[in-house]
Amino acid sequence: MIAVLRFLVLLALTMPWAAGQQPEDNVNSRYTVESIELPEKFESKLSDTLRGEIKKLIGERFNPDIVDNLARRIRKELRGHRVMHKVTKGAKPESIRVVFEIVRSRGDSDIVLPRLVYHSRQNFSFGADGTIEHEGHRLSLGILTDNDELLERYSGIRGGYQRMAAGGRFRGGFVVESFRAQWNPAIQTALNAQPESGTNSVPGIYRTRLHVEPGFQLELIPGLTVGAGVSIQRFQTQFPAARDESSHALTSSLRLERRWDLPIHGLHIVEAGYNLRAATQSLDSDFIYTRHSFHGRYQFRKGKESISGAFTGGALAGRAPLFERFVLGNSTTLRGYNKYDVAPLGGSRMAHGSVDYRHDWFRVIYDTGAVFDRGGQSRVHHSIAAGITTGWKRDSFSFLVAFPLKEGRAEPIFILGMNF
Amino acid sequence: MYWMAASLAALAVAPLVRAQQMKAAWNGTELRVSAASLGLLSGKPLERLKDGATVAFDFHLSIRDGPAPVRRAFERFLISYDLWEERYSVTRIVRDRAQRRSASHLTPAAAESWCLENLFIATGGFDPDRLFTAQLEIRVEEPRDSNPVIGEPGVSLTALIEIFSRPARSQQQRWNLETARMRLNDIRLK
Repeated sequence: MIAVLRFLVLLALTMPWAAGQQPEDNVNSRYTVESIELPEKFESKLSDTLRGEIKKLIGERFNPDIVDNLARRIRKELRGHRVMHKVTKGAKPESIRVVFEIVRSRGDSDIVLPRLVYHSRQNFSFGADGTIEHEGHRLSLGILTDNDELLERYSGIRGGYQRMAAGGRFRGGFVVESFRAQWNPAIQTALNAQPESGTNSVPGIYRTRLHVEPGFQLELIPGLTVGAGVSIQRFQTQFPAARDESSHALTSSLRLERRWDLPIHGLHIVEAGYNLRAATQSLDSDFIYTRHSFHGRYQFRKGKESISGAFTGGALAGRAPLFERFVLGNSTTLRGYNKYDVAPLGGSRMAHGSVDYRHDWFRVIYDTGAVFDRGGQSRVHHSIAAGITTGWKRDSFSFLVAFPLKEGRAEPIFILGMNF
Repeated sequence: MYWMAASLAALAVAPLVRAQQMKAAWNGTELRVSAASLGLLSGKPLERLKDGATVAFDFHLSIRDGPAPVRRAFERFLISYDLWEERYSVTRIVRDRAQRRSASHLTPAAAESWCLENLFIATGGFDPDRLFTAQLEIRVEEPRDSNPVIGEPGVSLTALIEIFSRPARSQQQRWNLETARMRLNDIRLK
């Protein structure tokens, strides 16, 4: 904590220091660029603008910042490649050659494990995605079974296509998901216990769910991304009779991520995001609702220590299917609780905050949050979790033992895996 | 067998920790240090310099009478290698650009010495008879990893395979030097 405060005080002092490197700090900046070499097979893949800017450097004084920036842009346009540059003596006196070396850093296809979690009350959640990428086109196909994120366990396949352009700043495409849902008996019991079915009642459970979502994301400035799309969902309800219902919504998102990696004052990451899902009659949706959700996170890391604070909240207006309702009590929120004990039907209002401290392999987390329905009673829960981890990143593997902070008997919950 | 293991261990640790190889001097207001050879301009930093890059070295000089430092100073120096003259240039980075200092046409040893000459701790208010040790830590700024193995979506199996199929990446290069316990009055310049 002291280190964080120290950072805030020193940030103003260090920013000009961190950004203080000037082109003339490199002694070779007095020499003229004689030529720029780039492997032919890659040169043809670069945009005309970038090729023009590379050629414009010839005859100019060497500026390492410009060359670094060009390397970054080449890397962005040639996704999946590592771009390095060297500067050597030119043929003429006082001249230099800039040589870009490009090697493929990763195969065109890859398999990513986005989620792997064991929760002692909610069992395993697992997902694996395979991707094929070629010249800005990306196809993905994956399987998953997840009992962590939503009220239901949803299992099935998902796939998608994405087109990347403008050096990766624009991404457009679609996602298709087909899931089978399994329900904990606590949910059915809670549904039956509802006073009466009406406009405010929670809709029933469903057997299958098909989701198609075309959309795009655009990076406006580095770190700030906006997105928009349409979410088309069709699901088969189970009670009182099997029938198909639909929930179609317009989606939009705003996401900010900034990093400061300061040599003495550590790494600072700030993230914030807002999502809106609006299901309207104009989209021929059987459910009409608006769902707002937002999150913020700050992480500081220095040496073996890392601390992060996160906040997430949301509000749901209207009558929405169960998969849109907010949940607390899983591997990322209120870790000492089982989500079916906190609110078996989730809630239309949610607020959650957590502080995650790591020192080398040790990790401790404090969670607090409440989930409730509009007009209903809100009860704030607190929990604490401690355990071991393989690193400071969110994707590190961890094993935690979590307890609810409450009066009376508290049973521990064990959580193992990554991405929590 | 033991002498072999001991020699190997000594060789492994030698570049990282060179205790007792640093000297300190006090002019009445500032404490400065000197060392015969730091060996900064070798290995990976040297490769980067010879490729025309500017390499940043962060210096942290501290004096301590226990585990925590009682006084300390931080400096960042940017070093580049003149491809035509085959000599080094060093710039000391400070907030006020007008106060920036630099030197060029330096040999490796002269470049290291120049860095140390521009690093000092003000000793005003420090008891000249108090026992302390001076420690110097130097870190080289690493170039950013262009291909992280673990990204936001999760763990990439391909990248993991890449990692395990290549030799372990060395950690950020750093040097640690330390003086013997002393008093300011013992090292006062005459």
